[in-house]
Amino acid sequence: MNKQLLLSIVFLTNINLFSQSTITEKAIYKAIYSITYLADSTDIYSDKSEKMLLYIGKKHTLFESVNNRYNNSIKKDYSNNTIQDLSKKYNSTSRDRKRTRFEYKIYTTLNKIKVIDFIFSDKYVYDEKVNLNWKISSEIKTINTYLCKKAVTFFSGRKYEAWFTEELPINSGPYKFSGLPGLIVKIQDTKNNYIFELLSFEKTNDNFVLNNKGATKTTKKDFFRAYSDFKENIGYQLSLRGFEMDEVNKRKVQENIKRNRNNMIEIKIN
Amino acid sequence: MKKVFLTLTLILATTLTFATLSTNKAISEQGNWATTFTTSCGVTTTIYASSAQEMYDNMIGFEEWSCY
Repeated sequence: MNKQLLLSIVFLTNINLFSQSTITEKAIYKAIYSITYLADSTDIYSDKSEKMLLYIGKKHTLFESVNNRYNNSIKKDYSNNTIQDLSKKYNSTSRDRKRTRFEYKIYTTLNKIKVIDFIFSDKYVYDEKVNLNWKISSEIKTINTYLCKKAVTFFSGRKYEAWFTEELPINSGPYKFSGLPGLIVKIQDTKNNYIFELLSFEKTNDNFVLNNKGATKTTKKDFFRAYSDFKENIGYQLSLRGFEMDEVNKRKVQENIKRNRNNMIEIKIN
Repeated sequence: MKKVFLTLTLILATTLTFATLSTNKAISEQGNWATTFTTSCGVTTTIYASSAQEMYDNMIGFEEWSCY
């Protein structure tokens, strides 16, 4: 067992239980983006896509997967179930759930970000200060009926090209990108591994909730280190969580992770 | 100082590991909260847990990590 793995387990499971808080905010606008990404950096045909939601309120924004939001809405309390009930419910609920690779919720206020994310079924929260050094150019083009200006920046090991519109003077955008003098309509890294594109933008009366109940507080660096350790030591990590399986099934899981989780959006964590 | 910290870390992690494995073994022996299931992409596993909620959350987590 290597030192890093041990340290991650200790940091992420035993230290800093986060003070739990729930904040509800009324959204003013709702933007839907598509995210198209390459799940496997070694396979150009491994592209996948999902719809992502950006709620914009007076104080905060929330960015999360549409499918993840749906899955959370159908999640119920199973504490009083029998094992037979649970097996039946697993079969029906796993059918009802919509697949997502993005379980995170990103809350932004000014340039401060709070991320709630999962490793397997363990919930974590970390704060992040993002200072994107945007360089705005004079290049313009129309995307999705909006007249857009181009800006470029570097973030977590990738170079990004963004197109924002001053027709919507809101300094927000998808994922952790914000700080431009207009809503980001499209942003992609220069290798086209991750592309976010605005599909719709409208006023809304929806509420969104910042809820870190049950989350363990950590740092971004520790979170990504633990995520990486989890992937690399999946057999051991699953045994810690009470799973037992034969070598054939273990290999299936390892192959799937290798195929689908080897091209993270953030590849260099400071 | 570093050595003391590392030693304490090792002891804590080892204790946790054995505690978790022992719990699972006990649960398994009692027959409580143990089930074998197959995910939608055909991976079969047996899972032991200390509560229904923990078992359900881990089943869902397993489905997502093994299939998507």
